[in-house]
Order: sequence, then C-alpha cells, then structure tokens
Amino acid sequence: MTLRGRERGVAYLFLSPWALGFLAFTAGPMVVSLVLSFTDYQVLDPGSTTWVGTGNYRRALDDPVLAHSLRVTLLYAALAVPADLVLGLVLALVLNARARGMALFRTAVFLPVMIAGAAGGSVAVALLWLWIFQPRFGLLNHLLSLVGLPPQLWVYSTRLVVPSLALMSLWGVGRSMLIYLAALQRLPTDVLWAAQLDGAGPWRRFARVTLPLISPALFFNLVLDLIYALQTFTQAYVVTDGGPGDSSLFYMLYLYRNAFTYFDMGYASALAWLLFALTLALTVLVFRSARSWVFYEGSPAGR
Amino acid sequence: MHRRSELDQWLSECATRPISRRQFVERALKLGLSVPAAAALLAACGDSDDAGTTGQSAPTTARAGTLQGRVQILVGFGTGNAPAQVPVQEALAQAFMTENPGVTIEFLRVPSEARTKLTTLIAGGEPPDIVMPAGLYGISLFVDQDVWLDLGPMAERDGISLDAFLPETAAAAQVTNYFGSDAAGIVGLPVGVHDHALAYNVGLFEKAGVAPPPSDWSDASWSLEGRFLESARALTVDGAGRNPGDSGFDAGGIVQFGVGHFFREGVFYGFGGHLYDAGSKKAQFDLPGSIAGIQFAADLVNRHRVQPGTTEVASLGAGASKGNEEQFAWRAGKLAMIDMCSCDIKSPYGTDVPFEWKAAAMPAGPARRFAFLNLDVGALVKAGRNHELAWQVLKYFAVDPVAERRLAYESYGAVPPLKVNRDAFVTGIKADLPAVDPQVWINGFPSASPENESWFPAFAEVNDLVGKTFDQIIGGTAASQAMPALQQAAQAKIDEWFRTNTLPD
Amino acid sequence: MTAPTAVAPRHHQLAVARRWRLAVVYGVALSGSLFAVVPVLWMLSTALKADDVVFSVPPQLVPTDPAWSNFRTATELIPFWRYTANSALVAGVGAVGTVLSAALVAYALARLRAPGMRVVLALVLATIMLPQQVLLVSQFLIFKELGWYGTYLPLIVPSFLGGGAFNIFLLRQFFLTLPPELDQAALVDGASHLRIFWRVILPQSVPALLAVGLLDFTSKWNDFLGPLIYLNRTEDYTLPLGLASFQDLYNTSWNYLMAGTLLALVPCVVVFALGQRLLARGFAGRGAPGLTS
Repeated sequence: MTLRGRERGVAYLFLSPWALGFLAFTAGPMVVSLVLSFTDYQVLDPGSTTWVGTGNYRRALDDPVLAHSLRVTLLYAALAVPADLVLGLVLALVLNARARGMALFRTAVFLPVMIAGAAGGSVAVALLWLWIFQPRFGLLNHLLSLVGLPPQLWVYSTRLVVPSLALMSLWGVGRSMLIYLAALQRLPTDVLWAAQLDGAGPWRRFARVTLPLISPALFFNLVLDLIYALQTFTQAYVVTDGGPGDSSLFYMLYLYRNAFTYFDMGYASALAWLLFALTLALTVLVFRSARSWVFYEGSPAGR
Repeated sequence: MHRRSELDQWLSECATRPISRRQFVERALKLGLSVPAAAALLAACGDSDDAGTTGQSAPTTARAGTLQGRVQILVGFGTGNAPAQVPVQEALAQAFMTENPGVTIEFLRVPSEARTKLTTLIAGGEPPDIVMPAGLYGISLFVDQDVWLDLGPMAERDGISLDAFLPETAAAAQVTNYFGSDAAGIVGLPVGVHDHALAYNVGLFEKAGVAPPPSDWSDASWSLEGRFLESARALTVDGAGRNPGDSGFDAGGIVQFGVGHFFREGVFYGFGGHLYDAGSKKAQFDLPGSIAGIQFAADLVNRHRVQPGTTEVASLGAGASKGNEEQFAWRAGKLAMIDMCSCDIKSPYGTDVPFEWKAAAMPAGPARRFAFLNLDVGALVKAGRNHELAWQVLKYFAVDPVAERRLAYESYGAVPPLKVNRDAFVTGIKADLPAVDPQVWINGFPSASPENESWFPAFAEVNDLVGKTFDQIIGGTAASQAMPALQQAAQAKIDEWFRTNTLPD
Repeated sequence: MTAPTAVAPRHHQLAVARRWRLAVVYGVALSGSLFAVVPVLWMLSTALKADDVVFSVPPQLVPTDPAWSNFRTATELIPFWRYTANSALVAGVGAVGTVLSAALVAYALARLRAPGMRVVLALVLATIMLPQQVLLVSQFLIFKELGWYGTYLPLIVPSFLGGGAFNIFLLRQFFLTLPPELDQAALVDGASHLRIFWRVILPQSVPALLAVGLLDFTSKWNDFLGPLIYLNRTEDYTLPLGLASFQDLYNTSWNYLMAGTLLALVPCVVVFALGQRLLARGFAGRGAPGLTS
C-alpha cells in the first residue's frame, strides 16, 4: 500500500467512532426532521400527517412573530458574541500571568460555568440574576446609584431586556477564557523573546505576535459563540419566558413553543432548518474571512 | 391488641346502630387501619350518610388478588414530587400492592418539564399508564391530541358516578367543550381541588378605619365596583398618607397598595367575560362583559391606582424571583388585600406571616361572583398498555374514601374532591394552622369556576394570545381597541382548529 | 558600550513597569472574579437562611442566624449522595470517552489527508447548527429500539463515538497549531500514525485535552434534559434532576435548592482545581513570565 493509501486508511479508521455515532444517532433523525418540515406532523398524532410541501416555509416567511423573534435573537448575538470574545481574551491574558493566586482567580471565573448548566443551577442562575436585576434592591441598580446614575428596569423593560440577557450571558465567560488559556499555554516563547529583543513594545508584541498565534482559538470561540447565540434558549425560557410581552421571545423559544406547546412539529422542524440555513450562511462567511486572519502552523493545506 | 378491642367494639356498634360515613372515616384513620381493611369494614357497616355514595364499597377487595401487571404513574404535572409529599403516595401504593400481589405500581417522578417528557414518551412508544395529579390546565393542553382515555364507559360500567364528587369538580372533569354537554365523557377522576379566596391584612384595615371584607360569600354589598374598590382606595397610601383621589396624591410614590396579587382574569370573569362558547363555536372576547371586565382590571392599576403595575411590582418585591415579588410585598405589609389560593395557605403567603391576616369572600362583579377553581385529576393515557389495570389503580386512589383523603390532603395539600371527605381540608388545616379559617374557602366553591383552565379549541395558542393582549391592556391600551383584535385573531385560530380537527361524538 | 549608570535606570524602569503591570493584572483579575463570584455568594447567603427568613424584607445579605444545617438537610431530603454518585459516573466516564474519541477524530481532520475530509468537517459542524429539540423524538425512538431507554447508555455511549461536535472542532483547531515538523520527524523514523498520535501529539496537547475534559465533565454533570428524557427510575437520577424536586408548582424551597446546588458544585470545583494543577505543570519551563501581554 502506498503511503497515501495508508494515510487514507488510517484517516478513516480514526474517523470511524464519529462516523458510527453520526450514522446511528444523528443522520437518521436529521433526515427525518427535514422530511417532517414538509409535512404538518403533529407529534402526538402521527397518523394524521399530510404532505404540505413548502407550506411551512412559506408560512414562516409570512410569520410576523417569527420575524420578531429573529430580530431579538440577532440583536442578542450582536451584543453577546463580541463582548464574550473580548472579555474572555482579556481575562485569559491577565490570568495567564505567572503571579500568585492566578489559579484561584481562574477557578473563580470558571465557577459560573460550573453552575450555569445545572437545573438547580439554571433556576438558581435565573433567581440570582433576577436579584441582580431587581429594580429596587438589586445589585446593579445599587452600583448605578453609587456612581449617581438612575436605576433601570433591566429585564422588566422591553428596551433593556435583551441587553440584560446579554450581560447575564457574560457571566459564563469562563468557557471562552478556558479555551484562550489553553492556546496561550502553547505560545512559542522564542518568538516573543525575539520580538522583545527587537524592541517591540507590549502592544506590538500582542497585536503582531500573540494575537495571530492564538487566532485559531479566537476563530473557534467566534464560530461557536455565534452558533450558540443563535440557539439561545435556556435564559429566555427560565428567566423571562419571552417577556415582558414578546420582547425577549428568542427564535429557539418560539420554536420550542411550536414543537411542545402547540405540538406542531412540522412547523417547528421547518423553523429549525431555517435557523440551520442562517447559521450555516454566517459560519461560511466567518470561515471565508478566516483565510485572511487565522494563522495555523501545522495544517496540511495551511488552512 | 388495644386496636383489636377497639375494632371489635366498633363492629358491634355497627351492627346495632348505623354509623355515618364521616364518623367511619375518622375512626378508621385513628385506628390506622390499612386501606383495604377499612374499605372492607365500610362495606360491612353499610352507610347511612346520604351525602353521596361512591356506588361501590370496596373496589380493591372485590377483585383482590386477581389483578396482574405493572402500572406506571407519571407525577409532575403540578405538585406531587416534593420530598414531603412522596411518602404518602408510596404508602398508598404499597397498600394496594399488598392486597394485589400480582400488581406493581411505579411512580415516574418528573421534577420538571413534564410536558416534554410525556410528549416524548408517548411519541416514542413508552407511555406511562396514569398521569396523576394532573392540573386541568396541563390536561387541557393535551385534550385534542387524543392523549387521554375517556373514562366515561368504564365509570358507567363500574357504577362510578361523578355525583360522588363535589359538583364543581365533576363539571370540570367532563370537558364539555370537547365531549359535548350531553355526553358522559370524563377526562380524569378528580384527586384534589383548590379554590381561591380573598386574604386581607387585619391591621391595615383597622388602621385605616375601614370595615373588613366579609367572609360571607352571599354578601351583595361586597362588589368589585362598590365596597371592594372603596376599600382598596382607602387602603392605598402614598408617602404622605394620601389616598388616590386626594389632591396632591403622588402616584409615583405609593408605599402601600389596597390590592395586589389579584388576577385580572378573575375580574374579567366577574364582569361576565368568557373565553369560548361551545354552541356557536365562537370566541367570546367581543362580549360587552369581556371588554368591560378586562378594562376594569386595567383601571384598578392605571386609573384607580389601587393595584401595582408590573414596574411597581418589580420594585416592591425585593430579592424574590419572578412570580414571588408580590409574596414579598404581602409579607412586608405593602398589600392590604390579595387573592389567596387554598394551595397558598401553607406557603409563605399564609405561613409565618409577620402580621394577622384573615380570609374573606371574593368580591362580586356585575355579572357574577367569581373565584378560581384549580382542579387536579388522575387521567389515563390512551396509549397506555393496560387500561383495565390502570383504571383499577386510579379508582383506588380517587374513589376509595380512605386512600383519597390521604392522597388529596396529606400528600397534595388539597381539598379532597370526594363529597364524603369534604371535611378533611377543614379539620386538617384547623389542626395544622389554628389561626386560619379554612371554611371560607370551602364556602367559596359554589362561586368557583375552572373556566380559565378548561379546554377549548386551539387552547394553547389562544391562551398565549390572551396573555399578550391582557398584558397590553393592563399596560395602558384601551380594551375597546385591543379586544376586537384579539377576537379576530382568536377566532381565526379556532376556525383553523375546526378545519384540521373534529370533535368526538 | 553603555556606561554603568545607564544600566541602573533601565532596571528601575523595568521594575516600575513590572509593578504597574502587576497592579493591572490583579485589578482585572479581581474585578473579573468578583463579577463571577458575588452571585455565588448570594446563593450561599440564601442557602444559609432558615425557612421563614428566605423572603424577609429587606433581604438579609448576611443572614443573622446562619443555618449551616440546611446543607445537611438538603442532603437528607433527597438521596443526595446517590445522585452525586450517579452524576459522577455519567460525567466521569463520559468525559474520558469524549477526550479520547474527540482527539482521535480531530487528529484525523487536522493531520490526515483523505477524500471527503472537508465533507466530514462540514457534517461535524452541521450537527451543532441544527437545534436539537427537533431531533428529540427520533433519537428517543432509536435508543428505545436499542433497548437503552431507562439506562445510562444514551448519555454515555455518544461520548465514545466522537464526543460531540464542539469537542472535535476544538481539538482540531488546536492540533492545527502544532508544528508539522513533529509529525514528519516521527514519520521519517517509521512511526505509524497511531503511534504519532499517542506518543507525539497527545503529550503536546495536554492543555487542550484538559480543557475539553473539564468542559465536558461540567456540561455532563449539569445536563438536565438528557437524564430527564432517558431515565425512568428515581434512584438512577442525576443531581440536576434531584435538585429540581425542591421546586414545586406551589412552593419552592429556595434555601435547600441553593444549598444543594452549591454542594453539587463541589466535585466540579475539585475536578477543575486538579485540572489546573496539571495545566500549571505543563506551563513550567515555557518561558519567562509576563511575556504573554
């Protein structure tokens, strides 16, 4: 067997666990949901399903509630994603320093990530952030009053609810911070030394050396943050349930309602695939742009 | 042995003079009789209480030992999973299994998201047999998905009449909008019921020199637009002690509200508002009563300023989660009158409250006096595998007097729906919380209605629309503007439902 | 050749600059940590409140009579330790499976050439782009047909089959940053790809592997929906399900809920702290401090 042939065989071998899982548990359901999106499948009454062709998709395009939920979701993404990327990087850079107690700080910042998923946790997270956002006794308004600013309504305000939820999501910055940290740990220090010897100041070193070298981590966080932001569900469901009114009705919340409250799984599937298309489009854009700013050392095609 | 002699004495008493069902039940509990044994004794003693019979005496012992199989009960559509509630359910199940060794009863406890779990289980082919307790709202969400088995035929066969239950619960369990008013369809057997009454802060009323709300539900002077509104006004004060309507009243600085935690839907119904009429298949949001009702609810907040709006609620309730801000305000003495469900008596609304509070009747609207009725039923899943066995188990929990009493009051903390057990709530609360008068809630049942959780076509979607519209109206939009739009949108959904579904005959 | 006097001010400058940098570092670290931790402290404060005090007005930030016994009561009201053991099993075994299989797949995607790799990468990402809710019923049916309903298998086995797109993608990105010279040297020496993977790549990737392991452990530890759907016996439940039973339709025991949630945190914190230790060990010898900024 040729070297190439051997490489191919090994590649497929290494991929086999994923392939097995994908074929067994994911591919089928994905195809099924795509097919269902062309029907009026009622999840508890499969016998009554009829083909509606593009009916669900046409309905989606005309659905004002859907359009509104998309606006809500995009606004949230536009706020939460850049904030998380930047804050995570800043924290990672700072907490990577060799100074006393950094391990403690790192654990502290990661603590919210350890709580955020728990059901006792998501209820607990909702509760404690509602306390932080509380107009009269809450922490945030208290802080504002200390600097002389007027109190805000936060999640009780139709204007501020989405930014408030974005702020709340920043509490989980430990996840992206951890990824940046892993990348920073691997920085080739010889390049940095060389830069410093050449007289490059700290900002130069950062912008010209560090940042490009950790660009894969940045890229990763960007792509994942974007995908997850578009699929935001738990905060909306537990903290505001779409309120006040519909001002925090996220796309996924509307989808969930269609699937499990109205039992209209056909329409929900169509909504899921529409979101998929949108996410795919945005991700492809990011990937395309990546060629100009993401720097890999060790990829076969340099990509 | 002490028990034995008491038992003998009792049996001889039974033989010589009739013993009322109520006395029987009390005695049985005191003696700690096992449930099937009590049922057998009941049959032996016969009953002289004409307060309604179950139509049969010992559902389990009649077929003892012949039942086989496994029954899974899904708990999670409401209450039932709190650590304090579990032991009673387990004990009752154990008693049944002891009498019927071939039967296994399993509880599938779903701590949250029961709707998603039930949907997945049914769609995935692993349905539970019984869902109990299931709040009527949760039941209504699934009614037109053909999820619940109509218990009418089996009830008729076994001689179980809904007359054994409190009339309001029986009516709710029949889902007349779905099965039709002539039909004998039953969506589930009642296993626990709550209703709502008014609770007021005694001290605040005394301080303001206002006559307290009456506990008499037939008091005609206690009306929404009359004495209730006047009292609320007198009990709403701003920082300088002024009432709404006084010159210089500071609407932005109200420190105490006359009424809070008071549901707009209740006012809506009191004015004659309705959601749906089965005869005409029409939504009822354009009725004069519907419009006037929701408008008055909004006026309480915006015009009369006696009830806090959302922003004021958020400010009043400190450190509490959404839904609990008013509880906070009530406990802080900032709300003079609240709507208190019988389920709230043992919650922070009613327990360890730092002031004296009393229960009163709900005020009457121009059309009717309305209080919410929250019913829990035990329902059978149609997709379940062993309907007959599940039915036997359900009958035991819901119809057997001793079991039902324990389940409804001790475990769920509710009023037992069986007429024969209707005193259990009063005796229980009087024993647990002597300062509370539970009779007020019992007296409220004739005024209580489950309309807000009863199924009608496009139930979930229309309810969402209603919620949003009511939010708008409370927020300031005129009801005369918003309600016609709601009527149109709701009717569209209802018509759509009739296009794609049919009612059972 | 610079005069001696010119050297001393340079050192002084460096020292001052160093102190400033340290101040900034500690400043940011402290604010970030406070932002993260203050809400947790509030959870602690709620956990320590007795039943009647939880909703007192004004809210007590530091309970006057801390009820440390709430922690013990929380573990007694529900089978807390049993649930902890269950969670440990699912999260621990799952995290190990994830790290191993995701690394394997990611290595192939990053280093090996074969037709269809791009397609595979696209599919991997596609699986996270589609909201999982619509797959719930179909996946349930599959697991049910396999006879896995009511067991931990639906929660653990997928970890060994790739471990999820997030982890594969993360490790793939990471492997791309490793210099190809390492592989090539080994290849020239005649090593098989498996050997390269095991002996060369993995040891270089400890920080990333740890990150994946920690994130996966945490996410499985806190997973609510998976156990909710696939478990049907209370004794099998994991911690999130157990904690949710403190919340009822009419009543929530906030104090026990918070106490339980905080206790449930402890294993995650321990795992994270241990992971940090390993991370730090990998850090030693990596270069002079302060160069990363």
